[in-house]
Amino acid sequence: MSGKRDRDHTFRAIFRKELLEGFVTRRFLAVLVLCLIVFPVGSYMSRRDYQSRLQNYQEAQRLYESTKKTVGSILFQTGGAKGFRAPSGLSFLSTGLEIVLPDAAETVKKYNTNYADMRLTNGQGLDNLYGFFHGPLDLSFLVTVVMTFLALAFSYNAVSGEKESGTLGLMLSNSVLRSRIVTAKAAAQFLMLVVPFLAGVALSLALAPPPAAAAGAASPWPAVLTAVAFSLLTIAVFFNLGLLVSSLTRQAVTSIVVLLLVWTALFAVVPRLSVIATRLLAPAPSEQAFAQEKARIRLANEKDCEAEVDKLIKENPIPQGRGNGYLEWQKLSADFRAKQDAIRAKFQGDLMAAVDKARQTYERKRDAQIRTSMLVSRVSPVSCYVRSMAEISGTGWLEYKRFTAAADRFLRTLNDQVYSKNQFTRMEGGAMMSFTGKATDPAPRMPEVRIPFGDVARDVLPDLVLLLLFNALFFAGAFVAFLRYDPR
Amino acid sequence: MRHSTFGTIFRKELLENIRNQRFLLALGLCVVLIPLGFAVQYTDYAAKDAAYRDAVRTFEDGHKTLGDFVQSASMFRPPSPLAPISTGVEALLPTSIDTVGFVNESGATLGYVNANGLGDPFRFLYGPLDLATIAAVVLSILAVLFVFNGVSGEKERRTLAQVFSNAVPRSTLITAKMAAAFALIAAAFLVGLLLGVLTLALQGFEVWGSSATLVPFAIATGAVLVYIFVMVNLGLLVSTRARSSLSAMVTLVMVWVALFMLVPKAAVVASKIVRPVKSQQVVDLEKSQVRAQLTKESGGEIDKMRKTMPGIKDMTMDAFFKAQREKNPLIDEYQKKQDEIMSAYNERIDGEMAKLDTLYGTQRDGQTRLARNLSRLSPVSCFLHGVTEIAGTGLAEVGRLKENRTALTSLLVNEISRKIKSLRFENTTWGSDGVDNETPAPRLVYKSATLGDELAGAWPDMALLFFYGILFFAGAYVSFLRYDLR
Repeated sequence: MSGKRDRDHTFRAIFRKELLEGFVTRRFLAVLVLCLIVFPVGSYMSRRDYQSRLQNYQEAQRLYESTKKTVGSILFQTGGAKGFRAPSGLSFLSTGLEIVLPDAAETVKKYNTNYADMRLTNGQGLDNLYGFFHGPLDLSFLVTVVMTFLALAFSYNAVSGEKESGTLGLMLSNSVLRSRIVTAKAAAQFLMLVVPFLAGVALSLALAPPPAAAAGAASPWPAVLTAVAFSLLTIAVFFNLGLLVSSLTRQAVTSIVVLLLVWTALFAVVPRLSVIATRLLAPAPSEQAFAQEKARIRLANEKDCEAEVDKLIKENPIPQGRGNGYLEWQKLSADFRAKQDAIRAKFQGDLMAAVDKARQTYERKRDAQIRTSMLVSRVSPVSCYVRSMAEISGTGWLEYKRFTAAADRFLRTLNDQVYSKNQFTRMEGGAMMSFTGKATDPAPRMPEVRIPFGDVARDVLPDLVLLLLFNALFFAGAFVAFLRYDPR
Repeated sequence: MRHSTFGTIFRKELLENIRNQRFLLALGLCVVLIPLGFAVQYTDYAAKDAAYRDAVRTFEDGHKTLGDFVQSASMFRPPSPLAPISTGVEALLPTSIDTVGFVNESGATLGYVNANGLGDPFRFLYGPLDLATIAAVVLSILAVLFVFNGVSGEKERRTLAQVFSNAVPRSTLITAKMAAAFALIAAAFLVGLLLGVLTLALQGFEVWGSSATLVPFAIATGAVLVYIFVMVNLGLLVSTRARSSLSAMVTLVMVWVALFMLVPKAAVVASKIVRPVKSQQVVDLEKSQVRAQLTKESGGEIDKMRKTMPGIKDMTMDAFFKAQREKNPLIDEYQKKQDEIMSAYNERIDGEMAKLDTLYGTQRDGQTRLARNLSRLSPVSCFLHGVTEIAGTGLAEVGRLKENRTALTSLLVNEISRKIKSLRFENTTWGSDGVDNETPAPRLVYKSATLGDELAGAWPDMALLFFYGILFFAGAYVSFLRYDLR
């Protein structure tokens, strides 16, 4: 009983000593000031960036809706039907793929077809070239670069530094358990790192709470809290890594040189190499190549279809519209039009089937590549963190999948309610277009669907587990290395 | 005497860095990363180039005559073959300039299309592995590792005092240290680059094939060497200001984070706050709205004219087309008046479009200029800007896109819009085909940047980068002359 009390006392004594040392050397104060400045400033800048994107999104939507009010305006005015993707209100946590994700889906239709295709566009790319070039200043970036560096700065000399200054030998000359020393040191130093981080984040959230409407859930707080938890785990990984390297080296300088190299590898080299490795392991055609494949299929189908129509025209000569009264011509051509519609419907069905097949092949390969990329990149805790933060913020791959699915549904609605009712009839030397629907009907709008937070949580769970594992592994390594550390 | 002292210290520094395996580390990283980066970026470029050629071929197959442009016209932008140097903003740049809707008598609406798509999203999340990134991140960290204890470390080990107990000028020592660190990192980089170029050659890309590729490669190599010079001198400057190698290293890491990450990013956001600009999408929609409004007004004018023109005002649609078939001179007069109204409105539309484009262009350029100038506070930004412009994947490409868009608009308006004659009666419009459907379609070739354009975009940053190098060296030099050896 007394032994346990002694051990607790030792732990508390070392813990207090480390905390006091942090205060005396002003290390804690420096980090606190840095966090209280950097996080609110980063958050403010990211929010301003989001607000300007939101403003542009709202303005684009307003302009579109004021121009395309009816089915007729979709069909007969320049430009097709459009659906817009709202910017993520949580992009201050991670901008992720926000700039490269499509911001609108627009129908493209040829005059001689009664269906449209959907094109995803990224109009905001050109507006954010400079931001893309230098990258964002969001929480994900600040944690990945600033906090991980600070974590290393807190732990690189925890053991080797004490050895150099001779205090480690003095400490171990008393009856102090090594396990107590390493645990108390780690706990105190980590606390001094985490408190300023949490203070910085809390201040930035207090100054500007996350916008609820665009959070991707009823409340943005589950996402914000999850992001903070991921951030803490990532900071802990680098802190424990610093502790491990410090326990394995004899000098603080060697420790920081090694850590700098490891940081470069984990931050800059491994994630990029994982992308390269993936291309070798799971090659997939580019989206541009798939678009060309679709264009070729479409062109061949149209050519065959028009050849069939040519045959029909030759077999059924119909007098041209302009020579007769309009109503008279319509009556004469009814049977001919029905036959041509049947031909066009058959080719349209063939086209849809061929495009769907090509799409499935392309998507299968692309998804396999992305899965492999995800797995390979998890070698680095930075990759685990960066990807998860993008998903949590609604600026990742899940958001892309959601938007493309919404665009597909919107296209189906438009084809059913609008484009299929637009009939095109070609005759010798001319053509005629007619619309069998009601042009004054209100134009369909793309519904906004949000990703339930449960889906996001399920997606990032493996990364959470991996970050926990990295922590356990590095701390266990540091613990064992310190037990065998020679303090001379 | 001075030369031999310089030579001795230079050799000593070289040997020390080779012995403590820093050089081996730098060489290993350069030999692996540069060829690998080149191979991947070139594979990317080859795939994009194939897609570009395929797109041009498919488009030309379906657009053989001028008449085909009425329905759609596209001008494709070829990818930059110099992407292995820097991918820059290539992923966000449009792959083509396309017509939106039909080209009609009131003009052509053009939009930018980026068919690159998202592909593998991780390449955006983690960034590229081009020469610019390797130099900006890896080589700069290597430079820091080579020199952080160059002065403070020697002081700690007390070797500095021993050196100065001999007649060694301080200026010679600091110059020799800088030269040795620079030479070693430059050598590692050049070996990596040589292997990279060989890798490109094996893939079929001939760097020395033409001056259009050889000169940018040579300039980019020069830019990387200047950048190494800057980072080595920055490291030396901090080392001469610090009392211990540990504090030198910690300071350098913080300075590196600020220069590489904070200054450029803050510059972007600050420029957006100071000079907010509407998005391209909003501007395009505004233009569409103005165009639709003016087209509606022109239709109203024509209707007004129809309802008041003697002989026409009482006609039914059937009677109108019967009169047209019988070549009634009244119809010609009606057509003439209608053309006059249309022509006046087309001029107004062109004017409004140009006004909106100019306003948006001026605002956007102002924002970009501000961001760029602010970010030039960091030598890392200067390096990245310069190299990216040399590779033809930088912000100057936006200007070229605009030029090509204007050229395509002029072609479509002059060759198609001005030739289309339409006749409107009530709410029905009949187009009379003024476009010659037999005329072969002209090739729509995108005018890419010339070497002169690339150099013009890059030189201010290159000059500034060199200036930073000199400034840091001067700082380190002066600081070392006053360095307290105790």
